[in-house]
Amino acid sequence: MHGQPLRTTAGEGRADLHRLPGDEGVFFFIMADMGMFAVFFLLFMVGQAQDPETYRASRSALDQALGLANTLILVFSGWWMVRAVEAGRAGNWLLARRRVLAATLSGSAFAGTKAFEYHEKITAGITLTTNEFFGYYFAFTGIHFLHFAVGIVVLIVTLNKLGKPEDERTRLWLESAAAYWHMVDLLWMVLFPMLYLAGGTA
Amino acid sequence: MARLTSTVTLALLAALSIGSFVLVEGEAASLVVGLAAFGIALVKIVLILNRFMHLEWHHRHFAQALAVWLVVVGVILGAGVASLPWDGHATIAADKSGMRVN
Repeated sequence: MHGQPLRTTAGEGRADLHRLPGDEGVFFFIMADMGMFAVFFLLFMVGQAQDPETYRASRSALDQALGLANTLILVFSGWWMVRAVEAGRAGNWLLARRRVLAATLSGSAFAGTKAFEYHEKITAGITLTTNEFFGYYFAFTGIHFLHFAVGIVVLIVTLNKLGKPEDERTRLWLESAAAYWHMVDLLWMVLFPMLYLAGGTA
Repeated sequence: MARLTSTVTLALLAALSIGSFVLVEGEAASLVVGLAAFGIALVKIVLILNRFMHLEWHHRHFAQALAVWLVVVGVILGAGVASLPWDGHATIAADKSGMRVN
């Protein structure tokens, strides 16, 4: 069975299609996290409705181009994880490992741009306590960044596991890691327009 | 075919991201643009859920929960943008170098 594709019969293939792509526990965690961020989105939108001018003025200080760059980085990295899962499902662990490495390296650029962005703000005197908008900005992007950092660790662990694959267990880990990484990506899909784009600028 | 699908999805996600950026950058601050930016975000999330995470309706509980999440978040974002005092006129982004915040 080592190195063989998962779908060995038509029946098994049909069951495989209905199987959740990853560990079910990871998806419960993903749902909980997304629920938490939904509350964040609500808090932000309520705050914005109460003081739109401060939010608009503050949004003007953000670099939309950097926000876009972060979006593209995460999307590109996520694509590499999709390709890695494809390779893993085909039993090609070496190729899967290379693609996870590509995802890790490309995704790590997000840390660089985020660090640059935070540095730019802080040296300009804009911090968590500047006003409500920036309180939410630093809090939400900070929490998202923590998720990102955990994701990088998960990817590194995945690289290690792919170095000595155990077929079913390794495939499950790979799919779970990919699911978590895609969650980090999709949460940014909301944060980017919410913080950087929609709501207007001063 | 699977490779083409994920690559096409990547291209779509990139194009939608750039599109929302171009739509909003600088000039036309308006309700329609704000709603469009969030609409694009939700489309991108659906693409990620379906094409990257391979979540389908036959995954039942998770697919249903995610659908509820999408609707709830969509309502939050849409209602939030719609509640803002848009004056209906295009505004120009402030010069960031001279920006002062409260």
